[in-house]
Amino acid sequence: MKKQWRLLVIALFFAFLFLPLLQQVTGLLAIKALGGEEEEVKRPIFRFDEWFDRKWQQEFETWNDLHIGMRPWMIRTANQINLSLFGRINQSKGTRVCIGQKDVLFEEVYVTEYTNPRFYNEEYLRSYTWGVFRLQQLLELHGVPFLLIIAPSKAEIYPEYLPQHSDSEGREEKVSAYQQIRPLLDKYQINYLDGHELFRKWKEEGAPWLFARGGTHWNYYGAGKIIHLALDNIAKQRGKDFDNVEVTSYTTDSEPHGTDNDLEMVLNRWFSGGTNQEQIHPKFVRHERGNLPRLMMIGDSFAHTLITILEEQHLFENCELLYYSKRRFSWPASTNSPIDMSQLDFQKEMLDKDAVIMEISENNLPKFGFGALRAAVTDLEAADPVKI
Amino acid sequence: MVFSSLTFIFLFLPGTLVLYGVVPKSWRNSVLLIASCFFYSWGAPKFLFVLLASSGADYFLAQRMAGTDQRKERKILLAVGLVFNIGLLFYFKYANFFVEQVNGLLALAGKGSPGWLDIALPIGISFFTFQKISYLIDVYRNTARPATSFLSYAMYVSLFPQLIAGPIIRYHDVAKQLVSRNYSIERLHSGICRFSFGLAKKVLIANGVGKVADAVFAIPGAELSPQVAWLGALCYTIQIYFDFSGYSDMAIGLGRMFGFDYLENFNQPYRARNFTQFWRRWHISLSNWMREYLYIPLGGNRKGTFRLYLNLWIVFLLSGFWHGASWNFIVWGAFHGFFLSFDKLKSHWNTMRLPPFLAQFTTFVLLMVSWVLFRSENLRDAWFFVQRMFLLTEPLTGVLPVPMEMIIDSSQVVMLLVGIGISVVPIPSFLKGLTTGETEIQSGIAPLGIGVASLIVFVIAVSELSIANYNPFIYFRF
Repeated sequence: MKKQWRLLVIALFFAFLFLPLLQQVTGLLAIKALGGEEEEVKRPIFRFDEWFDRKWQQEFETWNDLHIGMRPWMIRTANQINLSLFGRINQSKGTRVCIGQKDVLFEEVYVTEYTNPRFYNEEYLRSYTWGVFRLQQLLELHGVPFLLIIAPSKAEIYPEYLPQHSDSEGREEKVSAYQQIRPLLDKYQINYLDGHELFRKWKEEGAPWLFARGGTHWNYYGAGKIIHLALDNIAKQRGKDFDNVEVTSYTTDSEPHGTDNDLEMVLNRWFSGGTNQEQIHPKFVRHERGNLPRLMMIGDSFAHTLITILEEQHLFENCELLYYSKRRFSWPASTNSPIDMSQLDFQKEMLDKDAVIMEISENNLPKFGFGALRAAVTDLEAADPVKI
Repeated sequence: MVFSSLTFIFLFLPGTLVLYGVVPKSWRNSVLLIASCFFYSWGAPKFLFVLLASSGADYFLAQRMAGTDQRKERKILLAVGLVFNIGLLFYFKYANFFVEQVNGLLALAGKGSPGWLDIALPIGISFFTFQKISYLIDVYRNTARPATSFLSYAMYVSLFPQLIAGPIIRYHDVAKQLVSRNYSIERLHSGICRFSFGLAKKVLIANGVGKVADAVFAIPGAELSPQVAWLGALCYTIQIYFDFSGYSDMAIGLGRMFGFDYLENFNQPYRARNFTQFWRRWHISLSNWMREYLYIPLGGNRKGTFRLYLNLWIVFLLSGFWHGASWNFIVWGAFHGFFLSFDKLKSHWNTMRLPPFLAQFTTFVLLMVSWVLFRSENLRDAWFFVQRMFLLTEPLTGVLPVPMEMIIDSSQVVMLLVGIGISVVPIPSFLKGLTTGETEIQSGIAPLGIGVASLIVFVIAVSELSIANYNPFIYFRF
């Protein structure tokens, strides 16, 4: 009897020991891939000189750690244990996620910014806001409407779901970058849509969830309502009726769409704890007006949700997105490539558009345009130095 | 490649086990030697030659020693072997240190320093050098016959389970096993359990509290509060025990999987009530080696009180220096030598006179202080750290100390408490199998219980290892 027990333990140990190698070589089991994006590591090519310098061994171990069979299974196990026991995952870099009340997920940086907002020197904020004003002014000269959209932070809209341990004591006495910058936008008469204010208002009016509980970005319901207002806004400025959509109602199911569950994906746990149980999907009513705008957008990750709706609802003729001034995304071609800001000709990029939209999440304030703002102003000023 | 790496656990180990299992018995030693050479060259490819060539020299000298009855010739051969091995150790491990000291003295005298290139330290050299010396002395003393073949001796020196971090195996303890080993289900089961518990000790406890210790020892002195300093010292005390004993457990477990029986290296050392007891429970293989090949040949306690203390101090200063080439380790050795000498002074205060709990606590606190010497970058840092622990420095004004909650999180608190519990609470005999994987518990389904527990901690430990390089971003694709 005792021998059989020991044999069972030995067999199981050997199964654990050999399964990853077997899986790595054969891909025998269909294992769900991990969510989130990791840096690619190439398998090193063996060379004797690199072996003797230990370079190959180090590179191989790095590669092997990322490609070992059963890795998703092991990572989910470790994450689940850490989350269930300690409410956090062990992660040195990457997107840090924390679990709020009722299993609502938050990106840690948003919670930190909410509980302990950074305070900026007014001159510093003024110089950024002046840049936005200048861009708006230069575009106006060529009849191109400009719209600034401030995307709200989930922590600001749903503070009641923040993790219990987050210390928001005395928060009312602290001033966020958003609160500092709002009066400046009015002062410079910048044309903007304040997602922070709108989301709070809609929430008070009884709107359904405007963020996915398992995501960091606004959901498609919230973003859809912003799209409607944005297209309306640029149509009025442009004096041209553009096709538009209106969010009239919504449906719910458990299927996340696009960025809805981006934080849940990064958590990579076995049991989701209910965050993805109810997803809000907007129902759009289309207003056909016979015109589609050509758009240039500068923004951060919240812009992707907006563009997904614009694309799915066929609401632009073409659209360019300068993402964090690092990559350029183009539609309808659906291409993307890295960009060098100094090589861009903003006269060409902006002046043939029906509108330029600058999106920024309130956590990124006051870094309007992420470098594209200054480059665009310089280019446009060069085009028309006399008139300004 | 360390035992607690995915490459070792999921590539090297299964590969070696398969090869070892499928080849005829007579080839098994060759398989182990090749695997061990591969293992060593993975971490220090350029030094594999040093390891094998110096082993060849030992083998030749021992054969010559065994082939002659001339006492003088045997002595000369032994001396050549010792000078050669200690010379290699000195050159690779200590030359940089001595050159630094000479340069320091020359600088004081206003002279320029001579040119010197830093010498890389071959991994495991402190361990395998002591094993090689053990072989030469055992053959010289006729306590063991010389190895039957170079293959057998090279395997003794380079066997991967004990190659880079011990335990230090004395030749006469394994001489027979190098030629013939027994295999059984019980031994394999026990090896698996031991390896798994060792891995868990290293990955779950040592690595967990190690992050806290690293964070504390990185705090600039001015921001270090006494509470945080004590926390750092405590975490490092637990880290070093679980790191080292975990590695020894893995080595013993791996040895059993391949049919070897290694002696125990740790026995709950933090339960010691004085330093003498501590050294009977901590790094036992080093203590045994030091006693057998250094302390007793120096005369031990047989040559009067003065020589007893002198010998103790020699052993502990050298032991400190063996741990690392810096003044920290020498002072650490002297610290231990001092308290060991204290233990010997029966007529004076010693911790044995205190109630058992208080003696254990006092010894533990003194050990924590000694680990500060071990962990600090230099003696200056160590002294400052100890001063902060014992409130010997004036609190600095105008500087905010780093708060405790920024240093340690809930999971680390749990691991610290588990670590302290396993370290200091006597483990009932019926539970011993859980920590050691020993199979002396023969009744009922105990082997299954221990086996299942070891499998669970194995899965948790490798899962924890797999997330070390997992840092996903949600925005990457944009």
